[in-house]
Amino acid sequence: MRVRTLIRRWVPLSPSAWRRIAVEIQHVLMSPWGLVLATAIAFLALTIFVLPSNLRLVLDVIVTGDADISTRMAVLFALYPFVGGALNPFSETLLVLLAGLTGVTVSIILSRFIGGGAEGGLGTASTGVLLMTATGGCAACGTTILAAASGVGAAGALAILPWKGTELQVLAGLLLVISLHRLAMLRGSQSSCDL
Amino acid sequence: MDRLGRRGFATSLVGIGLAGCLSDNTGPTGLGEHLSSVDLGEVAQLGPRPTEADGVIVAFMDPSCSSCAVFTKDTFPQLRDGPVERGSLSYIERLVPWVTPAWSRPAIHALHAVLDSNPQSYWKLKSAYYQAQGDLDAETIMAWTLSECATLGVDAEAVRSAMMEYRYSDRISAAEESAGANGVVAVPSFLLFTHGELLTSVTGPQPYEVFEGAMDL
Repeated sequence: MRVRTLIRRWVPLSPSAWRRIAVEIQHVLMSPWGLVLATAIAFLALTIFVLPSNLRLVLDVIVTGDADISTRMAVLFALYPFVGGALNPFSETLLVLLAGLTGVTVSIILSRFIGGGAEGGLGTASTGVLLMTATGGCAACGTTILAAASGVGAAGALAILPWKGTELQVLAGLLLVISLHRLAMLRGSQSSCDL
Repeated sequence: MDRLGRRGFATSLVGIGLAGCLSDNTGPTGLGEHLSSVDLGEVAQLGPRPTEADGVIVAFMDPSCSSCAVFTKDTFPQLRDGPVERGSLSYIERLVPWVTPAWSRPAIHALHAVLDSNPQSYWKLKSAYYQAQGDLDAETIMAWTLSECATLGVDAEAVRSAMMEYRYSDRISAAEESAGANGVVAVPSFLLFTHGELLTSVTGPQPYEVFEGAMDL
């Protein structure tokens, strides 16, 4: 009985739990400021996933390069999913979805911060966002980690993952959903400042 | 808000700043310096001699890497048929084996053997590896490669002995050392040189527009 309660508390298994999550997302997106904030954070998340793997390119060509601004922008946007990008359509779609989820989750967290009434759910939510940002970028490289790096920390771990980090993205996505579930559960019992 | 929540959120913000696959490129910054460690007779090369070209791309690839296959299918033809064909870009390819699958290393030995005997067939065999990636493993790589070599008109016996004897281990080690010296930890990766100097590096099977814009091709 206690196990079932614990699972229900952390995992959105029932239709009503998913409805609460949908309402929570709708709550953010229906507010103009919430929509702007969530979109901005989603774009920031996408940028954080995509650009670090080519940080040298960004610095050498886009930031300090000699090319005209249109060329620099062309290079920059060619690194993003669907515009250019180095991933297959599945990974690109997953990356954009996770960036969107991150945007919504962080917006809710910020609204709870402003409201000052949130409790433990934020820890879970933050962990989901952290894992997303930590793994999304590496999976977004669209590369294969070399054998030479296989004994070195995260790079080595990534090298032996059969789907080259996509599984971490899926895990991060699940954590984000759990985060939203926890935040949605808290909404009824706490005051918050809507964005 | 509880302390765990605040701490978790703060940690997330730090994580955002540190996310991604950062790597430092600390290798040679001049083309001459870079090429001093490369025997051009031992690497696959297209276009003008590197010292005579406006731009040079040094690519680190693996025949078993699916992202390398994407680059070879989508971006490479545009480089080859554009600036390489026009004589403004030199393209050098170095092969480095991934940790898995096990057929990567013997395939690289085979590619070096083909490069030595018939350079044109090198590109065809590599493309064939990319197309057949899903069907290859450590048990089938030898037979498949020899069959493909027969189709390409390459001396299959020379390829077989190269694969059996690991004949090109020195070249593979040199490529791995070069990759390490240049901060390359993933394939495909590219070092971009313009006018003899290292311009930047690119990671991943990026579209042609990235190379075109960065190198003013």
